[in-house]
Amino acid sequence: MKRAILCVLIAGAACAQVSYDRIVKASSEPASWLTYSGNYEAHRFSPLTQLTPSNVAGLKPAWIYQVQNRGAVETTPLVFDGVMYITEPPTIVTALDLRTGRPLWTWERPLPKDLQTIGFGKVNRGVAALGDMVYVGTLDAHLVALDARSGAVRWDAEVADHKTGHCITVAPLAIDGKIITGISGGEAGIRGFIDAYDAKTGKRLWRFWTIPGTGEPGNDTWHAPDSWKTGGGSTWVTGSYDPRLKLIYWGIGNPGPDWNGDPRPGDNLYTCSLVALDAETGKLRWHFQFTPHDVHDWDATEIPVLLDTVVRGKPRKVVAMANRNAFYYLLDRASGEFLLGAPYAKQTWAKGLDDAGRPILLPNSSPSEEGTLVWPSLQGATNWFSPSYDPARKQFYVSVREMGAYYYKGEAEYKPGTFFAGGGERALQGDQAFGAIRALDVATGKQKWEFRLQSPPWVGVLGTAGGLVFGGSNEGNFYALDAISGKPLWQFQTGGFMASNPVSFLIDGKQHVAIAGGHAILVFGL
Amino acid sequence: MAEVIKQGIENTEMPGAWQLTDREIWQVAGYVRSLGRTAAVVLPGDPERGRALYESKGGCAGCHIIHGAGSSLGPELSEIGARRSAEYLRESLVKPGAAVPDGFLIVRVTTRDGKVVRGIRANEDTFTIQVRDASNRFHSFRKSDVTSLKKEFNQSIMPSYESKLSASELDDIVAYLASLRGKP
Repeated sequence: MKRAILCVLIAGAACAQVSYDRIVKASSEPASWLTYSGNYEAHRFSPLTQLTPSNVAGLKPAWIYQVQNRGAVETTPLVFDGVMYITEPPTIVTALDLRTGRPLWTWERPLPKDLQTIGFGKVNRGVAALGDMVYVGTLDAHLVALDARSGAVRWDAEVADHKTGHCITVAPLAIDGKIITGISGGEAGIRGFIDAYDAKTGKRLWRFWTIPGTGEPGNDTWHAPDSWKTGGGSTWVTGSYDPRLKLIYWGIGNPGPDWNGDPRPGDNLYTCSLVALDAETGKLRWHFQFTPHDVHDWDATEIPVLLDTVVRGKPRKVVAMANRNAFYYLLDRASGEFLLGAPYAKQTWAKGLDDAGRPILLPNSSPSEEGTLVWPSLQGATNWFSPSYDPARKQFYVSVREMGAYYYKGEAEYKPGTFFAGGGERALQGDQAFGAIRALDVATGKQKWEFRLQSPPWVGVLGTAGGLVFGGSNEGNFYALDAISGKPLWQFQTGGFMASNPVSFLIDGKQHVAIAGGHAILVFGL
Repeated sequence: MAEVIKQGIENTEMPGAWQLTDREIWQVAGYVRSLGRTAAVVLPGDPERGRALYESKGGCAGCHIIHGAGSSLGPELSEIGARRSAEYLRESLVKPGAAVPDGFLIVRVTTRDGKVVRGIRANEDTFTIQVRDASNRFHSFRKSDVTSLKKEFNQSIMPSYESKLSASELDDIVAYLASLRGKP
């Protein structure tokens, strides 16, 4: 008997290795949730089929874990080998027993007293896993590797100096031997970047600057001398990865200062762009800029979703993005060629897109001293929370914010480690705004159905092969919709504001869904 | 307050205002303190006569609480004079729907079984709505049971006092409300 127990323990230890190959094949292992968006292609789609439109009404809480501090819980849990790994505000990692929700270990980083989070909350969106470690970015801009069994620190790399407004809120992306991270601090006038670190040692392998330096291609899109040095271009949402092309896709944030574009004439590359980087070298393969010379704070830090579809009769390998600027885009993911762009929400700033995908601006849509009313608001038609791609139904689900705002232009003077925004906004609140979950035809961007929400949401969506779409609301509703019709089938009032993304996995062979809501992680099953 | 603005509130979404100088922080603190407070001004009415009207002819205590006394259908008024100008108070008496306070939106809910409830929206989410009717009773509805939900913007349950009170009586009651600035 003792030998049998030992064998089980050893088998468990051997399993607690999240190999690169395992993440590549994540869609074949739906019992787990191995990476931020579920798979490298960022589908946030569960192939599990146990939960269906006919039984989802019976979904009930399995367990609830209360986090230790107040503050928004934006984590996407990772689930593998009987353990759920979450982050808690401000910079805490906790491993939970998947069957019971009981904590197995907790790691907390003491934060410096002079920590600044300029323009965002003290949040974290989750860990990455590779080998026998989990990886977390910290608010004081370090990347830390933790032993997955104990939470002990394996290595700690300083990514940037927090005193200049650099922070990490993004969940890292683990690829073959490398941990990729972005950086926050766009409202502090940082110069953004994407970094790769050796997964075993923490040594930095490469850095891609999102604002090209003097003499580099793209620097000439910053016409005013030195404006590029404080150009922003933060990288605060996890990108996707094509293991065959070995390309990393990552969205780039807004230019600085945000709402006053006068100090930075030009297109301001690579802000508000999607970049495709060679995973080995970090070199730029291609870029596409959604919003040249942005003055509305429309970061392109939405999830780049990799999928294969037919565009105008031709099979294409594309990257799809529902952008904060209210347009849905398809780009060729090998070349970056613009294939399609269509609005998926109300927008009053562009007449449309030209043949190259460049927006044709409408007059009087820039911020002004007296305020200019524009749709969408600076929070965008969508934001960091994830969309979902349903390969069975060829649908792209997106959480939509239908909200306009008065944009104000103000003075902007750069001082290191201070707010560098040049204005602000006043959003239309209450019953003047609403939210929706929309299912788009993935190849055309045309709306197939809509489910209206009381207010513009901060929660992403999860599609499942069983035919469901899970989402959440500001008012605390966690709900399931029919993937074909968009009709609501189940909802549970979680009792707190939600700003997170749902995931799905198996516990003891049974499908469960989980989401962060209020100050808790909630897990549901039949 | 300056310290809260400067440091934020730990473990909440309120960040510190790192972008401001100390002088600017004091300016913001002064501004925030001024919000929701109006200066006391000399008004034509008699606040004592206004108090009597409030409690008798006006019947205002049937819907409002002042210093713990009255009914709770409408907004609590113990500090209303510090938060609202005399012009605003007069308009609220004459045209109650002109500026409905947050949390007092009027809705009309019709259910599948034909029940109709009109009242103040206490809360609402995507799937449910909670309503307080004119008799101050709560009603809870699942939207799946509701056939019609009408939001009556710029409407109020409160009646207009334009024809119920004389001009001098209105002056008196405005003067009384304007005198309500917190502790009795």
